[in-house]
Amino acid sequence: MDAELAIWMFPAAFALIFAGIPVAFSLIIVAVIFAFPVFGSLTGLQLYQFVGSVSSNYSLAAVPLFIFMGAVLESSGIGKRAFESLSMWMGRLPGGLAIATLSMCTLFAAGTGVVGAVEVMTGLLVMGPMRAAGYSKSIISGTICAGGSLGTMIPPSIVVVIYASVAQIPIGTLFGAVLVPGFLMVGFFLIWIIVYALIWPASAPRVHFGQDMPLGRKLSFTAYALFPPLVLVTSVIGSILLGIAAVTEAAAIGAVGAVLLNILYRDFSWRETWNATVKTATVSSMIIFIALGGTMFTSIFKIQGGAELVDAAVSSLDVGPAGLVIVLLFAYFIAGMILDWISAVLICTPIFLPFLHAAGVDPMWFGVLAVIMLQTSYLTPPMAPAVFYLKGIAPRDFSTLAMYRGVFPFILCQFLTAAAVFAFPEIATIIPELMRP
Amino acid sequence: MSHALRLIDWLTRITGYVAAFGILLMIGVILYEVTSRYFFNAPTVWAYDISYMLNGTVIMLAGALAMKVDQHVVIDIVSQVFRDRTKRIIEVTVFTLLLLPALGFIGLIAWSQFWTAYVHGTVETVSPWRPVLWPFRLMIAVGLSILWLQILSKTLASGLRLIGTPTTPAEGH
Repeated sequence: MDAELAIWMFPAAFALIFAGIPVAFSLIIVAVIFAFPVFGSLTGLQLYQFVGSVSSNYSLAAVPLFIFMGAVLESSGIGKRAFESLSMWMGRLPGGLAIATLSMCTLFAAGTGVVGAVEVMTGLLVMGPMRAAGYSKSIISGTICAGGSLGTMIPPSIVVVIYASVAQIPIGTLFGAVLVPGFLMVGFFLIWIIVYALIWPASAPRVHFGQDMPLGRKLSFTAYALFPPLVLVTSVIGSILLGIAAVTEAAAIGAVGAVLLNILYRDFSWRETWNATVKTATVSSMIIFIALGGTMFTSIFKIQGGAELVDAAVSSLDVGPAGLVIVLLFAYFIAGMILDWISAVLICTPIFLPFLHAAGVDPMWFGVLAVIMLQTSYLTPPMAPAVFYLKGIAPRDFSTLAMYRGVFPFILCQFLTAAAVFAFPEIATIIPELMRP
Repeated sequence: MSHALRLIDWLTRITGYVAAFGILLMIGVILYEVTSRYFFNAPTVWAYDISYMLNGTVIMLAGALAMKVDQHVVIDIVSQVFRDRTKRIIEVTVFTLLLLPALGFIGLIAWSQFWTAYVHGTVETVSPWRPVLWPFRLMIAVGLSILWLQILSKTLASGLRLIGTPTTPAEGH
């Protein structure tokens, strides 16, 4: 096959993407143009096949359902109450409000189908109390950005759904694989916050919220604020991990559960729910159109002989399997910095998978590392989406430099997590192995 | 002209709302299947096919609304330094010369695939339920067509602004 043409596919796509054309359409345009030399008169039918196969992919049906669940949770007062109750208990720890924020973000990771949504929600919620308590700008920024990025890792993450469906790993298995690394990362985040608060107590002081509240009231408020959402999130994820329900089914139950919670808390409104539904439709459409463009683009790239090109490039590097993994992860990191997460997964994964197979690398373990890389690129300056979202909601006296300073230690924590998973693959494989019947 | 643009926006909104309704329907179908399987031990033959077809329908029908509300991801790390006029020229050129023909081409095939399935009564053979394929294919064709029209409308609105014609009310957000 004539590989000459394949060389031009990436420059062509990036030219369109950087010219400001939506990513999905840039990929579709290039795929259509480059399909003609290969398929000739059958081009139309071949392209339609891609549309048909992506739009009739059953596991992708989990995408709108999880996004709906997140959008409903995010539009409710559940986050506010969760933060209030968590800070009542954790506030008196060093860096207590930052710890409460991260705990809430872990619980709300389900809500991050919409990139940046949880970060913005969290930011609006915790910025005021943290500033009033005297927290420094850098620790506020770092906590909000890091917490908002957790949705990539902690199930049910859309990025994980997309990676699994491209790599043809069962979605539930990959959810299991990211679980321990996800909590490990949260652990590193918490350690950093506590260390920071112990070194600079004035910048992350202890607070005593609700100390005049009797213990019984405290407990009942906590049960009221935390227990229902906790049950919802753990039952959705638990039923997937235990193999009780298919991912799509668990997602549908989670979607209904989120609405029921809103009714229970009297947060429900028809208008809000309908707005969340319409938002879900457009966001899911955007994501799956990128999936469509990515599938077309990478398939035609491979048919054009692009696989041999990449093969030649990789073998000229002459690195062992470990070196290969590092090179490919670096590519994810860069792709995640210049593109969005979903495009990065959809472009890199199909092209890289054959090399992983050839080198005997477990695509599930690699997937966990790739997800960590994408999450890290979300935080990493100078093109950190996390910082851009934060700028949108932060008061004017928050300098970009303070934000970068705050985010930096959390980036180190993420690399530390990646290094741990790299050195001890069991961290990623233990739960999938337990899940095996 | 502005009537045509307004009509396209109206169609976009309607299909977007139908897509949103499709999500609720999909949740209902999956819950029905879960309930009848776990509690009545009577799995349906149709829930699997209906769910993925609804999902595909939602995705296709919401594409135009996503375009209208600028939901589609744009990477602006380079293009943010361009002047507005430059951005508009690039958009109009690429949309007219590349995107509209490319999507139009796929859209035409989608219609012909719908027609073939409709005339021959083609069924999905991998499913035990063997549903007819034409309604799903019709939704794909409709979705792609309205997306095409929405892109056309955006291109026209941008083009009109470039040549200095006063903007029409139809292109509001």
